[in-house]
Amino acid sequence: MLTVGALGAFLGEWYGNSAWVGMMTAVVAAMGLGALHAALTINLKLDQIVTGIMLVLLGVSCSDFVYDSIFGDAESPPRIDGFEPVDIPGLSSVPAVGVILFQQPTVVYVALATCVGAWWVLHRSAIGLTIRAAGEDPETVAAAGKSVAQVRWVAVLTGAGLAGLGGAVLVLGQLQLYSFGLIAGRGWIAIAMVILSRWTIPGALAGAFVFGVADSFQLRVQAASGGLDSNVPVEFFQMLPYVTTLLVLVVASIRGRRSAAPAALGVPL
Amino acid sequence: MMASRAVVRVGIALFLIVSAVVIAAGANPFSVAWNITRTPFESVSNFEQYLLALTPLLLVSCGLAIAFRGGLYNIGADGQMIAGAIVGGGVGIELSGAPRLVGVVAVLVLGAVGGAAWGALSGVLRGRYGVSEVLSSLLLIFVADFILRYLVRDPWRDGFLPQSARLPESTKLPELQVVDVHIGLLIALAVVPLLWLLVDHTPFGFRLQALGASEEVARASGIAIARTATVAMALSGACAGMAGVIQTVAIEGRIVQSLNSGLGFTAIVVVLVARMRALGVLLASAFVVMLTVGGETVQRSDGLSAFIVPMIQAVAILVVLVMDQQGRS
Repeated sequence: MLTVGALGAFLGEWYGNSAWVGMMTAVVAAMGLGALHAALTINLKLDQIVTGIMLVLLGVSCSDFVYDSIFGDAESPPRIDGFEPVDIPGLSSVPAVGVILFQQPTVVYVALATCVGAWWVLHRSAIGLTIRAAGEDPETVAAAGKSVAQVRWVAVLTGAGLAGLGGAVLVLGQLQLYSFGLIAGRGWIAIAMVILSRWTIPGALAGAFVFGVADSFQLRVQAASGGLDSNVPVEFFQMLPYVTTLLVLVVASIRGRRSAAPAALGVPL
Repeated sequence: MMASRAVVRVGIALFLIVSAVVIAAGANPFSVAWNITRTPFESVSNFEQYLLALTPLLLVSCGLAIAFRGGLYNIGADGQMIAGAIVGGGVGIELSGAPRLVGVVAVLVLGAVGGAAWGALSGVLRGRYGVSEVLSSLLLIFVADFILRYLVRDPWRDGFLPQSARLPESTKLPELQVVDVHIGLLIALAVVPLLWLLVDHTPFGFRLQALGASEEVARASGIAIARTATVAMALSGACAGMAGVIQTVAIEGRIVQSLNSGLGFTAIVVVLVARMRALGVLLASAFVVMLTVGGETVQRSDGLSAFIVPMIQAVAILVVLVMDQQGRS
């Protein structure tokens, strides 16, 4: 979904000529894939892990295929760098107050606002209560006269839309181009974050923060320690975000033997 | 009878969906299908290419089938391949003085050991601490990849490019007499019946399937979950590791940095389409490799992007999954 979102953003930007259009297409494209996931797992009750893995393959391959079909025979095939000077409007930084806090692409603020919004919806609204109930004890929700399938559809679509947004952030905010394999396993890392955070939103924010810190830390340290000439191999630093995630995952699993996962996670009703 | 009808239905559904995409991309689906099918059989060298490409995929897929049957979704076969190539290849470089039999066997066994260790790590974490093997095996791909990049960039580097020195003659896999293909193919083909024997006809296979059916039930019936998961992931990794070292020794002839090829993900396609059965793995691998080899022809003759191939694969799993479910309910 991240990849589909990334491509959606790129295409929307390319044809719609605005980063905002890109963001919209990213969300819509990813939600399309999300709808497929919802139909397969909720209505047809397929295994969610298997379907999820399949959707990753489908999303990535479709995006790559579409991208390659449209842009494959451009000036400098098949290298992607040829598109780099795609000048994306709307990216120019928000007026600077502090370099770190305010000189971020707009999308960063959208992401932070999303966290707050998601927390509010999950914990302070009726819909949120129903969603959480559908995860813990779907029978109760059904008994209360609400459709579990409907609730789960909404949840999956929202999640997909956000994943699409994530892809858009990467393309519009950082790379400014689409490239094959650009997501580099970030969706899986996001799942790790959710497990780490014990299914809470502040926790997810913290987890993403740790990964982000490890990721940017490695770039800084790499530069500071003299790049290729340093005694510690560069690859060690590049490995850091992944090793950190794995270690935190292990520690979290050992400490919280009783998982905080919703009781009915992955169980069809 | 049931099975063959299912195959026909899957085939038709697959063809219809893919045709729609192909037409949308402005090509003729019949021409595309024909070009894909005929490519491997066009010439002896094409057929040899086909068999060479089949070898690693078949090995990795058999490995994944073991883990998947136990409900362990090992998606990190690429990492295990790299680990196998590092251990097997790393020792192989030093074996120039050894007799060829010793060299070849050592390289293959060490490759399997390397992959097994990398896979077992995920198995232990899952079995003992409940860490999702999907996540740990995936994260370990990146770790293995960066270790490999470091090794070929610095300590093992030979020459200008980031790659090791040539592996000595003593580690070169013997060629088959009939066609110009190394013995790795025979090893891969031999693993298929072994997979069937192991999973369907041994006590370990029984424990594995019990674990795959329900971890709760398996635990309640006194099955050692941690040990079963670890052994399954180790075996799974061993197959991948051997595939990794075979590619290193037989195809590249040296340890290269581009081993992280996504083959492990293609193998997921194979295993899911094959519903994790040994014979199915063989057929599905043969089919998927045909797509891959034929995909290159299609790019030339029909002007389609070669990325159509992974897309067909993903659609194939989708069709199989949906039909499976339809068949059950």
